Formats: sequence, structure tokens, C-alpha cells
Amino acid sequence: MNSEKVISGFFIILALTLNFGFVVGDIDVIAYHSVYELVAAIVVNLIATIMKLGDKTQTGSVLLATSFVADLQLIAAASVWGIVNMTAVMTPELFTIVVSLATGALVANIISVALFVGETLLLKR
Amino acid sequence: MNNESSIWLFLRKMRAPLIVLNLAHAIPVILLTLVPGINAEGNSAHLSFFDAMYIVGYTATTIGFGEIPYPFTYPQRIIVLLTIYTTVPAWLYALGSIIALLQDKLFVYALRMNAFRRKVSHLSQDFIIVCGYTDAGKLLIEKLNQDNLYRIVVIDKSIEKIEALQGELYMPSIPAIVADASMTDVLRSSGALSPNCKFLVTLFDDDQLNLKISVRARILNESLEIIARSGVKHGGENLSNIGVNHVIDIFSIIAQRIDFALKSPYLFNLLSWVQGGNLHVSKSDILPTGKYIVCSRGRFGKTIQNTLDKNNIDYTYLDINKEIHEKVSSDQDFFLEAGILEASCIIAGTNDDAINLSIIATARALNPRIFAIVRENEMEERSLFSHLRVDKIFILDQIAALDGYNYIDRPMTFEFIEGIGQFEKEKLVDTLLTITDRVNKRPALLEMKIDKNTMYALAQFLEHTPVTLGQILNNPYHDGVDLEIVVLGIKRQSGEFILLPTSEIFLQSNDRLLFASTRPSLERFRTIVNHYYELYFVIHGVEASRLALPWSR
Repeated sequence: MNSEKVISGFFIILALTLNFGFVVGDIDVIAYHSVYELVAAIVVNLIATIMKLGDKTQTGSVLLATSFVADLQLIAAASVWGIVNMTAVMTPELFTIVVSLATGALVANIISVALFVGETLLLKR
Repeated sequence: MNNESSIWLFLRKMRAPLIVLNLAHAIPVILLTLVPGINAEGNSAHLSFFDAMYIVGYTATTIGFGEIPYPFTYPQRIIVLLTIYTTVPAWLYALGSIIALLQDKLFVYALRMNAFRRKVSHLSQDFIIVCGYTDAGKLLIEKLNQDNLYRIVVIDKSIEKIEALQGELYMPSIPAIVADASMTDVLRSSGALSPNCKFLVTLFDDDQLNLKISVRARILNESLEIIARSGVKHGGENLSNIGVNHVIDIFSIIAQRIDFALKSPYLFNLLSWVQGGNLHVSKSDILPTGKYIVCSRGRFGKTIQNTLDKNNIDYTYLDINKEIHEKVSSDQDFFLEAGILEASCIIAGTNDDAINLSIIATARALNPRIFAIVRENEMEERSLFSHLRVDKIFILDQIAALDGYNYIDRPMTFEFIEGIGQFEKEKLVDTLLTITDRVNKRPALLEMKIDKNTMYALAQFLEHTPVTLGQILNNPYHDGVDLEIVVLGIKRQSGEFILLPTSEIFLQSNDRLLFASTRPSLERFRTIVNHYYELYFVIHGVEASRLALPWSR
């Protein structure tokens, strides 16, 4: 057992699950989507990104790239939500943008986990 | 350590501070949004995420804007208190460790190396790697940069030297790196594998180091031309054995100069001109033929002894080094014993400039008319030696630099010297006078190739019209004025070398010309050989018709 692998695996998978938890539910209903879950997803995604820094393998580089995509999409979602709250009234149409951005991040997270699991399975020791 | 891996290591070390920073911001933000406050109207209200981030941001960085957007309640203040005691230390820790990592020596070295490698790989011209920004290296670089045939890349271990180089503001710029040139990795980063890299010059005083660098460079690149300075102990045999193309053996160069000087002052003068001096025979070029006193040691002493033996000169050899010199109670007795009063020439050739100075001073005091030859090891001592009015100074670094320069930018000089070494005295005087009469007493010596890059028009012309040397150099504009240029040698593509060609000789494309000239004449020459109409006029004496009008056929 490799403790570094445990920690990074934990954060990478937690990033996916939190992201999924936020996205699941009707896309235009605010009540189905908790703002705290979005914040948690962003924080955990950032940690997962940091955990992927400094891995010089080919897979490591792709993993880092997927993480950057997820960060970008989630932060964009949070920004849209925050800006709308400050300047206008949230409508189901606008809220759709938030959730769809987060859904995009979910895809990146799925790829990330798939790569992570795949790489681990390839190891023969 | 490999510089690639130190960047990865840097990123790995960044993980902990970055995660601390992330959590120290995230947790207080979430807590602040959860705890209810009271707004201006007295109603219960929660902080928005943006407000919470704003508050944590200015609290963590110890800026402290106060309680925004409205005064906090006590539960909120408890959270803010927690925020202060967690985020401020976390921020300081993270910032401190990131700055410490940025200043890490290996990391800085890796960054510099990357920048250097990028600069080298962007060099599109041919370039030369110079190992060691020593006095000799500096001189060589100045010479090469003037001709600007090659770009230069410099490696030196000492940071002061590289900073000195960067302070010189060379144009075109010279990429330089503080690194150990004897490491394969460093050589590779300096472009030793690049097809544009034509020469590698290593000019350190240390034989072992030059050897190490040469071996590695040879293994890396088979076709690279390596020039290495041979030092005090060996004559460079081992350097040639490992495939060094040109060994700069200063002692044999000095010996050759003394040998030439004993044969004829004219020969000596031509040689020292080729190696950087003036073309003018002065009194100090005529070596006396009486008794010599040689104060030296080791290989230099042996080389000088051989030269003197060959020329049947009577001499006394004093084996002097620092220890012996310190033991001698009085220099005067020592030299009197060696017969200084009858001697006509003294050679101070130890590897210590202070001893050389004292030898010359004492010798001069005892015998004011003695001819003094001195070996100068450090360039800074120059003024001291000229103060003593030494007749001949051999500055090791200068000789090394100019020999390397000759090999790189004008290799025909070696064949020229070899050729004139066989000349009789009258022919030597003739040669020297031909040059000084037609050009001047300080002509520039340079080598050029007849090809489309350097002589565009001439190279094209030679494809259909035969052109002689005299047609271009003598009376080119038909106004009775000759170019102040003397061609000393022509090297044909086949490798044939023609020493001092006559003006009737026909030029061929891909010939290399070695010539002495003045600057203005060189400019004129360049204009003629590069412009079609100019060259047409020079050869035919009439303007070429520029318009192909139908009736002019």
C-alpha cells in the first residue's frame, strides 16, 4: 500500500462524487442543487489538482489536464451563480447555465477517475 | 543532479503549502456563510459566498478592512477570530515555503539552464562553444565577434566570470551559463549535438579539465571540430590521441617564434603579425646571437632548450622555481655565477610572474644592455612588464587566443606560415615589403571564400567568364588606383594551396583567399565582388547595358 496513492485517490474520487452530487436532479430547479456542495466540489477539485502536480509520467500530465478542465468549469459555474445573485434575479434559464457548466466538469472528473483507475490497474506490483 | 527532475521535485514540494493554503481559505469561507448575521435593517441575514471570500481574503493577508458589509454579530466574530488564527499562519507558511523553494539553488539553476538551452536552440547561425571565460577566452570572443562569422556560446563555472561577460554587452548577444563544462549534460544543453555547432574551444589552464571536456565532446559529436589548449605538463599528445582537431600548444608557438627570430627578423615579424602584431621590423625583433641565460623549468624550459640547440646558440640553463628562488640568498650572486655579465640575452620563463619580474630587474641592474625576453602568465601584469622595458613579452593567454582565432576564422594562416618558413632571406624581405608598400604597416588579415554567400557577383561571373586576380585588385575602376589588398594565398577546392599568387592567376569558384588589406579597400572589394554591374565595369571597363531594348541587340 502506498499512502500517497491513497490520499490522491481519495481526493480524485471525492472530487467526482461531490461533483456528481451537485449535478444530479432537475437541471433548472435550484432546490435540487446545494451551493455548499458546489463549494465543496471546487475545494476538493483544487486539492486533487495540487495532488497531481509534479507527476512526470505521461498519464500524470493528462490527469493534471483533466483536473484543470474540471476546475475551470466549476469555477465558471460558481462565478455565474455569484454574479447573477449580485446583479439580477436567478431564473431557471440562468440556473441551467450553472448546472450545465458543472455537468461539463463532471465529464472531466469521470475521465480523470477512469485514467487514475486504469493506471493503477496497469501496475503489476 | 539532472535539472529536469529538480523542476518536478519543486512541484512536488509545492503540494503541501498549496493544499494548506486552499483549505485555510475554504473552511472559513464555508463557516462564515453558515453563521447568521444581522443586516442594516435589523433582519437576520447570511453572508454571501462572495462576501465571505472577500472577508477571508483580506483577513488572511493581514490587510483587515474591517466588518463588511455590516457589523458582525458575536457568533460571526468567533468565526472571524478562528479565521485569523488559522489563515494568517497558513498564509505565512505557504508563502514562506513557496518563496524558499523559488530561491532553492537547484531550482534556480534548472530555470537558468532551461532559459540557456532555449537561447542556444534558437541560434540559427553556425556557432562556437567556448569553455572558460578566461583572459584567453575573452580575447578570443572579442576577435570572433568582430568578424561575426559565428555566434558564440560560453560555459564557465564561475558566476563572477559569467556576470562579467554579461556586463560586456556583446553584439550579437552571447548565451552564457554558469556550469561545469566537463559534464555531458551541460555540453548537450550548450548545443554540442546541433548541426550548427561547428567548433568547441576549451581554453582552461587545467590540462585535466581540457582533456575531460574534449573526450566528452568527441563522444557526443563525431563531426565537431575541437580546439583545446594544452597546458604546462603535456605537449598535447594525449589531446590529439582522443581526437582533438587542433591543439593550442603555447610553448611550441613561442619556441617557433624564437626559432624564426633567430633565423630572420623578417620571418619573425611576419609570424607575429599573423599572430596579432604589427607588420614592421623593429630593433627588438633582432635577437642577439651571443650567450643566452634561460631561467625556466619543466616543459617550457625543455622546449626553449631544444630550439636554442637547433640554432647552435650557447646558453646556460637555470632551473628555477619558487622554492629554489626563495632559497637563493642573493639574486645577484646567483646570476653572476651564471655569467650574466657576458650574456647577451636572458629569458625569464618561469610560471610565476613575480619571479620573472625579479629576474629581469636583477639582470638589468647587472647588465643594462642585456636583451630581455619574458613569459607573462597573467594578463594583469602587463603594465609592470612594459615598465621594465622588456624587449619581448610572450603573453600566454594572448598567444592561445590568437592561435585559436586563426584556426577558426582564418585557417590558411597556418599554411602561409609553413610556406614562408622555407623562404630565403631576400624573398622574405620582398614579401614583407610587398605587403607594407601596397597596404600599410598594420594590415588586417582575413580569409574569404568565393561563393554565393560572400561574393555573390563573382561566384556567378566565374561560371561563364574567366577572371584573374589582377583584374579585380589592380586599377579596378580604371582610374589608376589599385586596391590596397595583397593576396597571400589561395586554397583551391581540391586542397591545393598557392602561396603568394601572381596577379595573372585565374580565380575559380569555391577558392578561399587569404589577404591583407586596409578597411576602406576591403569595403570596396566587397562591393565589387557582390554587385553584378560593379563587377562588370571592373572587368570590362564599360558599363553593362541595363535595359534590354529591342533595338540594342
